[in-house]
Amino acid sequence: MRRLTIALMILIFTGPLLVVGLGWLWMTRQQQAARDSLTAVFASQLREHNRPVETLLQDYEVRMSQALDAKFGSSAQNANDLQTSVDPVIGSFFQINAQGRVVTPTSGEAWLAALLIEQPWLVAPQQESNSVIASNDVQQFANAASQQAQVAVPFRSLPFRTPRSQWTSLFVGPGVQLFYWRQLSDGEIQGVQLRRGRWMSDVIAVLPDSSPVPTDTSKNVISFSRQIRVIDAASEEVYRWGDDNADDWVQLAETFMPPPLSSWRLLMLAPKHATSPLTNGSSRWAILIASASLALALAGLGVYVYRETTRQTRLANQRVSFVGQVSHEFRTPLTNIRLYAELMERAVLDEDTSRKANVIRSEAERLGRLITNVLELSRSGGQRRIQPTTEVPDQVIEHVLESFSPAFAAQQLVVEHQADADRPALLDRDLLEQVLVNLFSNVEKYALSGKYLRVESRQAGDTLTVRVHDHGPGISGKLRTRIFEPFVRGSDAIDAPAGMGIGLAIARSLARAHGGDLRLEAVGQGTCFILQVDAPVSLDEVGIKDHAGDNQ
Amino acid sequence: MRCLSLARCFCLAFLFLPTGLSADQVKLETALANPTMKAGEEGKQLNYLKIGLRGFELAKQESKKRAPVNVAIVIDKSGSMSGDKIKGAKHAALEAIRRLDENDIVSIVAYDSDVSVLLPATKASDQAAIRKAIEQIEAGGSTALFAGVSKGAAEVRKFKGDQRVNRVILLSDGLANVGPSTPDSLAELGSSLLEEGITVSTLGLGLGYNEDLMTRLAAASSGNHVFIEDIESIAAVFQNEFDDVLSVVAKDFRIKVRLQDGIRPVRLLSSTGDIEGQSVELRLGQLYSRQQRFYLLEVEVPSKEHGTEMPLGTVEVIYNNLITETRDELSSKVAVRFDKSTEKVTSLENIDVLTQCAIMTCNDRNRLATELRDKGDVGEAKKLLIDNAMQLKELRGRIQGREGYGAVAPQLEYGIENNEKQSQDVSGSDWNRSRKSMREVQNMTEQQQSYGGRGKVEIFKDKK
Repeated sequence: MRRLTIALMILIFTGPLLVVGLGWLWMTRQQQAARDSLTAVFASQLREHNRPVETLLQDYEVRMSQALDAKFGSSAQNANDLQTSVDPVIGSFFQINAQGRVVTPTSGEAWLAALLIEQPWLVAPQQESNSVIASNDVQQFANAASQQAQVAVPFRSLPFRTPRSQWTSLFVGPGVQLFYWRQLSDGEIQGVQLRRGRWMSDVIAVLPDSSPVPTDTSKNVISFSRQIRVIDAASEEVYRWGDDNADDWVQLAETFMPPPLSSWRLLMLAPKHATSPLTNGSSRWAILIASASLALALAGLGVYVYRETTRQTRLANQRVSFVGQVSHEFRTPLTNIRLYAELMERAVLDEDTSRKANVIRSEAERLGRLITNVLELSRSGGQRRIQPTTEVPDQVIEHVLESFSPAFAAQQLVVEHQADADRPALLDRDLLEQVLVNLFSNVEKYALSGKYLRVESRQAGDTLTVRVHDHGPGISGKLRTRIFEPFVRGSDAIDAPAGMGIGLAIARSLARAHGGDLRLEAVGQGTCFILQVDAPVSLDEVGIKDHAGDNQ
Repeated sequence: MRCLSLARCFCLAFLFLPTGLSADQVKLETALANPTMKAGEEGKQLNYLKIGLRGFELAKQESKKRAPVNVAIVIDKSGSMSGDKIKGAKHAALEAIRRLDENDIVSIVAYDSDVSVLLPATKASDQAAIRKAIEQIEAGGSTALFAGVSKGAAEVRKFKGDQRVNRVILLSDGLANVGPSTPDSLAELGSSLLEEGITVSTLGLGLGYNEDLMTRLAAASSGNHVFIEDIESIAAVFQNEFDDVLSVVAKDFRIKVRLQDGIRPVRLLSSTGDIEGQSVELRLGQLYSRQQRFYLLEVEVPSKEHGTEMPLGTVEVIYNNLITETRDELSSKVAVRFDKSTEKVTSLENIDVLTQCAIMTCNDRNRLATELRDKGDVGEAKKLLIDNAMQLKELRGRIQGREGYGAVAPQLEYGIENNEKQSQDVSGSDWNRSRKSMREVQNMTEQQQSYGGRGKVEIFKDKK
């Protein structure tokens, strides 16, 4: 019953759990896929925001190049310097001549020092020149850097014939500084340092602001609140726009800003509570509901099966106990029948009457054995208690054979007993007798046609082995594996000998209860059972005598 | 370009303004503290060159009264502004904008953690839109000051013109805590805006803002800085700011001083400029009607023989005249004489320049006092301020009664009064408040501002 309950519980719970597990797996996959595709969408939206910054930086490039022309170009010298205006984004100019000498600025600036440390080849002379004279702190610095450059990167000493220009961004002081510089064909380098305060302001100015815009529902495919932040190289927030109505934000996407500002990032964020539509709450509920209803259905089914099974079991138990009680009630009248049949036999009336009384007695004995088996079966489940006494196994075997001898003799069955178990051993006599009776009953019922029965007994250590071999029709292959199951019979045909199919099952369970087993052995002709029981050889001579005396 | 505008200027004067060119022309005055120096001295002597600019008076009866303005009002709507502050600010802004007309352009920007351009640059005659934009301002959030100013400047830039007063008016009561927040980065932004002809005025409200950041932003862009201690006076401050905005007569000044060889520029008193070799370059955002604006350059002059006159250098100024709508140029030559008589040297000293030198020197030392107090050195700060007042008083005693004293007396008194008061304040309990007030006065003195948080201070203005 407990096993049944456990099995049912497993049945009830595995189903829904499986559904939940698989559903969860499916859902997280779906979410991941959805999130991935959304992230891709968001990232592309973020990159759109990079466009104006890109345009700004391109514009800077044009403007810086013009500013360099104005500052260092040939026409720059004559212009009234009060009339020429300098681009507001320009912080300072710098100029390094072909000899690697810093011409402008004349005073040492932190940004210049940083630039020269980072790109020492800028001050590496293009031509071999000994005319470099350290005139100020910048120059000393430049000299040190140029020496390093000659060892490390002799870049500038390579012949450059075409002017080149490029951006450099460096982390100096409060943050990233931008430099734009170009190298002329004669090796001179001209550049500008951009005002950090200004270009940051310009970047902010070209990016959107948070002012409420009339919502265009047709255009906004995903319409939930979002915030975009500009994060600088030191991971500090520079600027943000979008919604600002949450405390907890979840990052949706990230992209780098265009070079030379690539150390800055754009982050797209959404409020934590607003991202739950992304994780699709409805499918989570669907899975929970599905698994719950499955669990309910299975539980109902389980309860039904449990009740049905317990009812049937109860009925069967009642039947068995009824049979058991009835069988028990049969015993007393049967004993009387046997007793009076024996008395009749002994009274020796005449040949015919004596023979009839003999039949009555043997039939009564058969019925008695049957009842014993039925009783044995009805109390199966509860383990039979072994009550060993000291017995000589061969004597027990002989005794049982003797009780069958009238029936065997009547059918001219030859019985051979190869007795080799004559040492007294501890065993349950009733049990051994019942097993043997069941085996011999089968011979009597099914194997008389073979006309031959061989019983071998032997003791090996503490094990008693009895081999019962007849020359009957044998057991077909199909049945061999099931023959020990209760109520399994060789044939259920009407002409088959009477029986309930419980003999072998009982015999085996008794053998096992006695620490041994009953097996079927494959032989060429007929059927052969091997009985093995645990029967420790007894050295208690007194016991033997006592029992021997009792038995005889 | 130069010839053209001069010619145009002349034509205009000839055709429409028969009263003369000089009426609508900025005056450039150059003077030395000691126009006569001691002759035959060993080594070099110090002298001070004043480069003074005077704004002409806006003629009220003329049909074209003033230059059109292009103003962005940037309002801090962070959480700390909630309540009366934001209410006062909205009201003040609305009232002030009423004074603008259809030639003017206005934009409204509000910021907290992020920035909202509530009203992109629009004609000031669209009062309904302006009202709507201002009324939707609600306080809450952090303070993205840098971004707010950037967006405000971007709005101004849309209609920026050489003949327009381009101004961002920033009102804030809090520390910049989102985005760039160092005084340096704001100053850098300010000076780049000045380069474009955009001025930022910073109005600090209450006791929570960063006065260093606000003063430096204003100073770098030639703007006003005001410490509004009393919420009640927000409206008055806005009116005063608009008085200034609406009285700009000239803008985008570039001033170049070229010194003769042998004359070494040492430093500028209480102002910033580029000193490179023998030349000094200065930038001024604008000049208001009747404003006196001056710079003082300390120079090292080698001594010469008695009776000689030596050219010191030239001063060139170029600016946009908003009334005549021309780009005008001014120039002046400066020379110094040498005399062996100490009495003569003393008697010829320029009281005006001398006083202003003293005021500006004291202003520099006033800044030093703030720094000392910041380091906790209350005693030294106090000593310095008392010493400032003493020096100014001593000067007052020396020049009182001399010719021209009357013109500089208010400036001198203002300096004495402030230094004396501040010498008390540095050891007072409310240093935060005192510091803001100190920074305000320092900036007002440097910029020769016409008003402060407590009203007009017209000590640097010509009499009507």
